[in-house]
Amino acid sequence: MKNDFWWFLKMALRDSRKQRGRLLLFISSIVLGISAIVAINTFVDNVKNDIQSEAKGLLGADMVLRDNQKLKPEVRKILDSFGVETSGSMHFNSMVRVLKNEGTRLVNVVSTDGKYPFYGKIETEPSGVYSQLTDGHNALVDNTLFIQFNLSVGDSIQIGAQRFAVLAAVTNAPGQTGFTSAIAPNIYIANGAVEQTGLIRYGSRLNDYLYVKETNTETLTKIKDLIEAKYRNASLRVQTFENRSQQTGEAFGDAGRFLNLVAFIALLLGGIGIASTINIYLKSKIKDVAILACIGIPSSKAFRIYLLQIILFGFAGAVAGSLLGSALAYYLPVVMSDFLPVEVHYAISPAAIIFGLLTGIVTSLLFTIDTLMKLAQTPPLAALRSYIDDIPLKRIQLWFSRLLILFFIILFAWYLLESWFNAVVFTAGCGLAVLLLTGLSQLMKNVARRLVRPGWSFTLRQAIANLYRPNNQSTVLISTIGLGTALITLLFLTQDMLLSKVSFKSSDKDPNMILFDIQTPQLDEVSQFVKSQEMPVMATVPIVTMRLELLRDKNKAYYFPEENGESANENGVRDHVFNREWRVSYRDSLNDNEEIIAGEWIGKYAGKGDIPISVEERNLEYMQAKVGDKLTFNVQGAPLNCYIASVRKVDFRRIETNFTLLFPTGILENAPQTQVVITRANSAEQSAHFQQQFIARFPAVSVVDLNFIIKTVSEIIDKLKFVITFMSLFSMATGFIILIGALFNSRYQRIKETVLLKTIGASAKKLLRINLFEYALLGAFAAIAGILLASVAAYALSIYTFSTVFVPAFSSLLLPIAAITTLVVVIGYFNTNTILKQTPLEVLRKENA
Amino acid sequence: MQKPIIEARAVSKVYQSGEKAVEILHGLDFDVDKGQTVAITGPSGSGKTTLLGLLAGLDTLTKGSIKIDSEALEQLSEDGRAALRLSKMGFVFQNFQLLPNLTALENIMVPLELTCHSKPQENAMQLLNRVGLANRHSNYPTQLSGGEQQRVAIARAFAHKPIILMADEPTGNLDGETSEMIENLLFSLNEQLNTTLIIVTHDLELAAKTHRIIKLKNGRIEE
Repeated sequence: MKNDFWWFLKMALRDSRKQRGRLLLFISSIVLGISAIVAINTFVDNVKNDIQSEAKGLLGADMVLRDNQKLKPEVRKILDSFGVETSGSMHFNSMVRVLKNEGTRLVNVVSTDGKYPFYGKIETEPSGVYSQLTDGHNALVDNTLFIQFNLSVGDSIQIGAQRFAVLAAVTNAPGQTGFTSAIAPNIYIANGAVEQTGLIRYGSRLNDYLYVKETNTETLTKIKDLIEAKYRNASLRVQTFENRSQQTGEAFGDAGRFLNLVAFIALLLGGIGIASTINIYLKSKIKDVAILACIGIPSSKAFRIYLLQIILFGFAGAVAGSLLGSALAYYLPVVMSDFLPVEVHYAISPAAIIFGLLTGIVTSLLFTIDTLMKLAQTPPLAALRSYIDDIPLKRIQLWFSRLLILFFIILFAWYLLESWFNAVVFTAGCGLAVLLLTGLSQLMKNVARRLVRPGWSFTLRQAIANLYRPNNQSTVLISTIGLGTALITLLFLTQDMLLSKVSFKSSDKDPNMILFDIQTPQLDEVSQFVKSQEMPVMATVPIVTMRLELLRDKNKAYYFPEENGESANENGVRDHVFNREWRVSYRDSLNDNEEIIAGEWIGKYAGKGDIPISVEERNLEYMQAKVGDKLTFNVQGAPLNCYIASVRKVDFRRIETNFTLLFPTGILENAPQTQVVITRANSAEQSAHFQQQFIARFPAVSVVDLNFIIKTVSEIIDKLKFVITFMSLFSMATGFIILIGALFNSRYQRIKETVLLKTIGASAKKLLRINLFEYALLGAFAAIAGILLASVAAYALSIYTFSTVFVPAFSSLLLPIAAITTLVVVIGYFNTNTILKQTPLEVLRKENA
Repeated sequence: MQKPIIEARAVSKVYQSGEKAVEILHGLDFDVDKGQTVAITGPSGSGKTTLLGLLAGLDTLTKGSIKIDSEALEQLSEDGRAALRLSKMGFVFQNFQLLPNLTALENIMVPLELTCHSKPQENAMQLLNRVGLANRHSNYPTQLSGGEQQRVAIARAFAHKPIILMADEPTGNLDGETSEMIENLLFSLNEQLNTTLIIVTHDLELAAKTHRIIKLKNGRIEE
């Protein structure tokens, strides 16, 4: 026998000639999955390349030093001793007041000496005005703010006690994303103007930055090592442009990995689509293989014709997917623009394309391996015996194919996630989802089988019976549409949970506005003002800032002997417990939203011995501490010896001034402190009016309008949702293609039955009703199964991730059920109608051809 | 004296039906000479198709031996039996069994290509011409009538000049007139090419046209 690759290829092409449309339709189930993967990988590659090439531009310098208090003069001396160029900048939050329309908003004030950034630039509109910023009366305003307050060049704004003329809108700055500016947009002022604002006082939260320009990496390393060694116990942090680009790259890598998973799910759905549709096509080849075996080419070789077909069409699907994905990657930066720290330059990624091509071929083969094995062992006798239309596989072969599929899914997931554990968890999750959906579809078929009653109408009986008859597409449709529905529904449910997590529990009587950074002497004046605006002073809370010096009598150097870049040591102690500035309060009683879960609450200090304090449960974990442990704080140079008397669980969603550390009364009353006033505005108008008046009167006090924060967070989540929905659409679209393929396939399966029924007198209308009713049942069940699955997953997420109570709004889930059912029925209609409109003979001739 | 082209000795076939073993053929013995035409007849379930399958090496013997042109089938592997079919046998089936996605011409070309024939297309065209279907060469099986499909199947079966042609109810799906045409075609090609012809059939008229009839009943020969 001729054992020639080219002959097999020729036969593969010859045999596929009449069915290329059908094969392409089936293969198209993987096109979208591949395109999603190629698009995401190309995009991530592009972003990483740009982050790499613009590493210095991302930081604006070669190195930056940051402290959450004013940098010590010695630090500057060290830098001067190396002769490097530096640029100082201070960042702090404040309210801005727009004078022309009395608009107010919490902003991030960034002061600069004009030298920063050393790399990249602050782009403005009108352009080229950044150098004029050194005049202490000018300000550059983030474009978000510029638009929000309808600002024009020359308009006046007030920050603290100082007024500034708006020079321009900032359209781009090093490392800035739309995401960051949505929370607290930047306003740039000159370093010299900071003092005039009067905002840098005791208790002010600020970050002092010193940007360094030094191209010699050896010098940079020396500086970094020196400063880190000298200030190990301080809150000073050093970051080089390499650290920054690495961190940003990793952050995008994480985002890319998540999006890749969503894309991979689309591909797996496509795999299931292939498994269901191509396998029916391949099964129809059993007779052909048997004929070839009779002619003289054994089945073990004849199956190569179909193996080559799968490879060829899988490759075609992968090429189409890769092309589409590469094209989509061009537009992804637009979709993701709010989250990008660099301008992304589009370039085709050969690695992404190769991965896409390989994935396409492997997926096609993996999901057809069972039927290919059947073809390879087709007995030639099948040509003589018409009843041989399927070849049972041995148990070991079934296990082999299942394990192979599992292995490759884990392998691909590992490539995408870069973690074996996560890859296994992901695969297990997908497997569980498919198992659940398959189980549900089996349940539906069993129920349908038992449900049918002889007394029911012919239409109803036939429609329900179609769900469980041989060659039904119920399982594949429920699995694919169900999984697609589950993904999208889970996305929306997660979004609801996220929003409920960040939204505050509030009633008509709860506070919704917090005034902070109030100096103690002005507390009465502020309170009076609040009352004069017909708003209640619901609470005044003192805040004392301090640092942790010793944890169980050991300092930071003990817990972190080396600066290795890790945020927690091997025992789980987080370094930020030493680095952060603790804002604590004192009172003699607990709030309603606080509960003691360990130890004993002591509200008053007896005046002797260590001070009994209460620690919030998560912060206790950050310190890896327990009740009774000793903590020493530093308040303006004075040490405070404390011990953990109690641990509190705090419901942070309640609008209270929630504190991680709570002191008893009788110790901090005379310490330097600021005050917070909590109040409530009854309407958005009252809130706006109050803020205008208040900021005019107390420019150095900041106002947090909780309703505005919720709105901002919702907007950010909306943007995230858009990105994820965009990716999930690939799964939905894949499900849609699979749906068409599966229904198309069921047409092949049902054609004879339909024609027979028509021949013996069933009207086209009746047959259409049977089919549409069947599709409606399938669509509705698939959607319900998907939603059930999503609800189970959401429930698990609510417990293990969000620690919140999951209450799905079932009424909102009715819409997807209706939409998906309609979609299935509409596609089913077009699928069936073409058969029904023609005469039985016409249909048989056409379909057989 | 020339050696028989087929030597069947104590041929038995047992199928497992659940836990029960069902003996379909009970130790059949017969020879077939080169160029002979043989009809295997018998009622449904008598074992005709099973015997044909065994003779062609499509299935394996439970007991006994079958030699095709001196080669013992039971000693050959699946691949070996396939190679033997390719070099020495042709097939005609009741339901034609043409490859549905190949044209009439391509169907005939398959065995020629497999045997590395130098001009498969020209040769296949000649065969098509011989069965009177040259003008239908580019038609797919579904575009041909039953009789036409069977003529293509016969052309394919004779394409690589087999020494034995196995036919399973070759006229079973055809009307009287077409059946006669197919029978004539089979016998004329058999004569021209000196091919041994084994025909499984219910049709006693067709059986009567052969040199010899092997009548099966309950898996035994009633010759």
